Amino acid sequence: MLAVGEGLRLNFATTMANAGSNLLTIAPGVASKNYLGHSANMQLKFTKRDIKTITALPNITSAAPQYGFDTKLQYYDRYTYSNFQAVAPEYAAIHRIQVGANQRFISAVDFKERKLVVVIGSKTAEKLFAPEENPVGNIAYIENRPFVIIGVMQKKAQTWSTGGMPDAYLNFIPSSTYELLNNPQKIDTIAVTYEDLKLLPQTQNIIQKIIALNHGFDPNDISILSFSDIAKNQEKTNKFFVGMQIFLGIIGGLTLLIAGVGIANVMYASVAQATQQIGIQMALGATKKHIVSHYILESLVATAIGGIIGMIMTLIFVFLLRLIPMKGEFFAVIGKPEPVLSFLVLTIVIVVLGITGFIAGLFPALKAAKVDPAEALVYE
Amino acid sequence: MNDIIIKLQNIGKTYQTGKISFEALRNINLEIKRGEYVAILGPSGSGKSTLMQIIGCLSTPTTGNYTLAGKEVGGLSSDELAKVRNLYIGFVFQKFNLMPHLTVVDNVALPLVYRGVNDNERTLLAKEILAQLGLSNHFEHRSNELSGGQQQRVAIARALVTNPEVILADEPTGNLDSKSGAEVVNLFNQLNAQGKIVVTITHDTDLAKHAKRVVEIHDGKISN
Ligand SMILES: Nc1ncnc2c1ncn2[C@@H]1O[C@H](COP(=O)(O)OP(=O)(O)OP(=O)(O)O)[C@@H](O)[C@H]1O
Ligand SMILES: [Mg+2]
Repeated sequence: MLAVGEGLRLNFATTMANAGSNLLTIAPGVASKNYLGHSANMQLKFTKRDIKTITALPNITSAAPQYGFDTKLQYYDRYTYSNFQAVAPEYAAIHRIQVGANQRFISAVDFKERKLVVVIGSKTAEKLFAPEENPVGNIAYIENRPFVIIGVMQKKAQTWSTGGMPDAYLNFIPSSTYELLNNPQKIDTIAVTYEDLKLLPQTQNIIQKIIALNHGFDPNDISILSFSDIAKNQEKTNKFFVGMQIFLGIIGGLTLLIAGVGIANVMYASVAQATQQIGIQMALGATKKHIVSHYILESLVATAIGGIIGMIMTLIFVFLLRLIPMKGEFFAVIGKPEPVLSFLVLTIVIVVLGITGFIAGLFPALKAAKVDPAEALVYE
Repeated sequence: MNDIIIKLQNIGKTYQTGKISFEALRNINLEIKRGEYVAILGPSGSGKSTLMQIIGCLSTPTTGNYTLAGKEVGGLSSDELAKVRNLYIGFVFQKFNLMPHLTVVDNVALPLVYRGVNDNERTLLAKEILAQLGLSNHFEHRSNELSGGQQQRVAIARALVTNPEVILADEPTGNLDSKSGAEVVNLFNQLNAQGKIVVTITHDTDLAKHAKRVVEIHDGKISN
């Protein structure tokens, strides 16, 4: 039970790690009130200057413009409508994007020379190419311009990305190329990497004020920017999974409780049956401690045997679960839950089992220690 | 050194069952010296077993004082009583009272477990005493694989393994045929000859004859 929960959580943790954790995405918003000649509802538009100012701030390691657009990608007579992100080369590292062998993500040279290159998502590749075809090196057309496919993102389970869409559906071109071709008047979003998560609230605050200053907006108007911070999202999802694990844990706990009561009952019966033997042991000099430890030990042994059987059954169960093929978009997004018996779970289970066995044995053992040897021996 | 090992003064025992109280023993005065062989003789229900439980520190008297080997036993906790039993008393019961799931050796070694003797030494001592009682061929048997007479000898070995001052036997021949009974009686004579106090409790006048001293008990009182 716990193993399944732990598996889901670990799986999610790795999935989330795939999204890159020290990343802050900043999107422009609108002014909420009139301020020094700017009227409310005025749209903020990022400029190159904003990028420079942000880069200069403390706790910031990089800031890069990002543009997003939806358009048609054509390869001979095949085409697909897809979302494109125009990004800097660092994007790959931040988002832990990986391409196949002998392929590349947008390189520094691609970026500098504003090359017409595209990295396509694994889903895009599936739509344009047959499985046996190698997309890399082929030319696909974006808005009638020939782009060389330099890489296909490797399939990875990822639940959250800056575009709000799993990376498998995204395609990437250099932002410099995009700027050259489209001469955009505004930057869609700014991807910022930072050093220290603890300083993030302050950093956000400073960014907010300085951008407002750049554009003559009210420095206290928080609605001009919206931040989305992967670390925070990750925390939320992690909480959800911890919650789920607690739920599974409670079910497991109830099972243990029932098992504990069962063991206690059996122990009570065996104590009642052994009253005369307990009397004999006491006549021979056994103290309460001897009797109590004997019955607790017996209970622990019973629990250990039960625990080992349970553990073996769990292993079989986990093994069978892994055999079940789980396909489809849902699992592509959340990742296939592979139950694992982690060391932590195992330790918890052993400790909990030990406590259960101890408590289940304790009360019958205390009852055994109360046996009056004289009475126990009279009723021979 | 005081030779009086067992000293009962004005001992009374009253059983309380709900609202009914029953005086099983009253005004018992009894002294047993080192090396004595005493039979406590009385009809059924006279209070023999009750007296034996008090002498053996299995229960405490309602009134009076009991001094065992110079120590006042009254007021001891149940764990302290357990230690006293382990040190001074070897019990022999009518129904042998062996532990059915243990081997003969482990049965005999059991009192040493409570004394904290280590495993090797326990086994050694148990085997030694069993050999003396002619049970060398039965070390690893379970008690229910033995005859009654053999079982009682195992029980006597268990009583002797701690080398106690007092052997306390309640109807030790009650469940035995006459031949095995005679063997047990012989064994007691030998033990007494070696200096142990032997106290047998019985309603059998023939068995009582083997003792050097007979204490008769009727309706919870000593009558001779
Ligand atoms: N735990 C008890 N509660 C109440 N009454 C008891 C208890 N134990 C013994 N008695 C009563 O005390 C009296 C003496 O009992 P005891 O067992 O000492 O007799 P006994 O001489 O050993 O008899 P027997 O030869 O049958 O073994 C009996 O009447 C018995 O019913
Ligand atoms: Mg009796």
